[in-house]
Amino acid sequence: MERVITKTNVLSKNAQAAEENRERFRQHGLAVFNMMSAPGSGKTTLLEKTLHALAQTHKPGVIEGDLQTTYDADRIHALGIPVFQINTVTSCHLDARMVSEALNQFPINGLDLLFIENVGNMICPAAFDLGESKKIVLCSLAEGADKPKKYPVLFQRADCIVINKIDLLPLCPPDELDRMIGFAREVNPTADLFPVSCRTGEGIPAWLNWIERKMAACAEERNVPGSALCV
Amino acid sequence: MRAIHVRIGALSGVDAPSLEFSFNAAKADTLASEAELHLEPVPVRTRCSLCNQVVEGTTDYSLLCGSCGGILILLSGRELQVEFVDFE
Repeated sequence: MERVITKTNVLSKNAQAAEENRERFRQHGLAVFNMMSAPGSGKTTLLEKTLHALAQTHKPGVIEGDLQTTYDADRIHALGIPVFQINTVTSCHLDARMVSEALNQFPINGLDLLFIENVGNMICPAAFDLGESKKIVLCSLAEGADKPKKYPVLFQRADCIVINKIDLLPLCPPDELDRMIGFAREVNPTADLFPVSCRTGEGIPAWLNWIERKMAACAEERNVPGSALCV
Repeated sequence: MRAIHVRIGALSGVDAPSLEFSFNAAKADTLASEAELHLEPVPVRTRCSLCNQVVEGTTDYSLLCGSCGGILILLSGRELQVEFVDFE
């Protein structure tokens, strides 16, 4: 019997592709945000709000991930923002190779900001690094306050947690938002956290400010090889 | 190939019984058709950033210290690693 010591990460191929994506983003001075949530939490609507606000001063682009349809890409395109739609057909998450192939068809020259909207799913996307600068996890108030505790692996990897649809609070138990924030803090005490309503605009300025700060950090790192952590 | 030994963390995002199930389905007609999959569970280990207490195992995935409420630093639990492969 012969034993071969490998000590290889099962996801090492993805990790390698993610690092190549990260280096490509760094060379372009591009801040990249991987947005993850359950279907229907409002990722695309938050993107619309965000792009509307930032398009005056920045050059954003979007990669959309969905099993089927170009509905989300159509909404982004309607805002005049460059967008590329990945259809995963049956796959429940984006991986680094899919993003790399998208980048071969979607020019990022001239962009300073890229959002990757992952497939709506709170399990598998947690395991796949895409080469992003920051991971953003959304949930919405009506999904139930205990969502962060039910999907801790995803929430624990978030750099930023957005709680959307807080305008629904009058229809929920009065302590629903406080409980959701409490549960999110339990599983991830260090992420930045923004309760927002895409409908009323409440909380959106603080969220936009966070994006701007992370973009500035990424731009500074443009000429420092191997560092794309954007503190 | 006789065996594949994989370390699988409680926070890896991969369910051990599901991995075993799919491995046994996928190995047919491959080099690994006779191989056994050995899964070594890696528990979540944390150290508190305030009181320095090291705790192994978690039941509720909280990253707040049960003793003092401090923020816990993850020491292990995210592994998903092929440690070694046995051939004959």
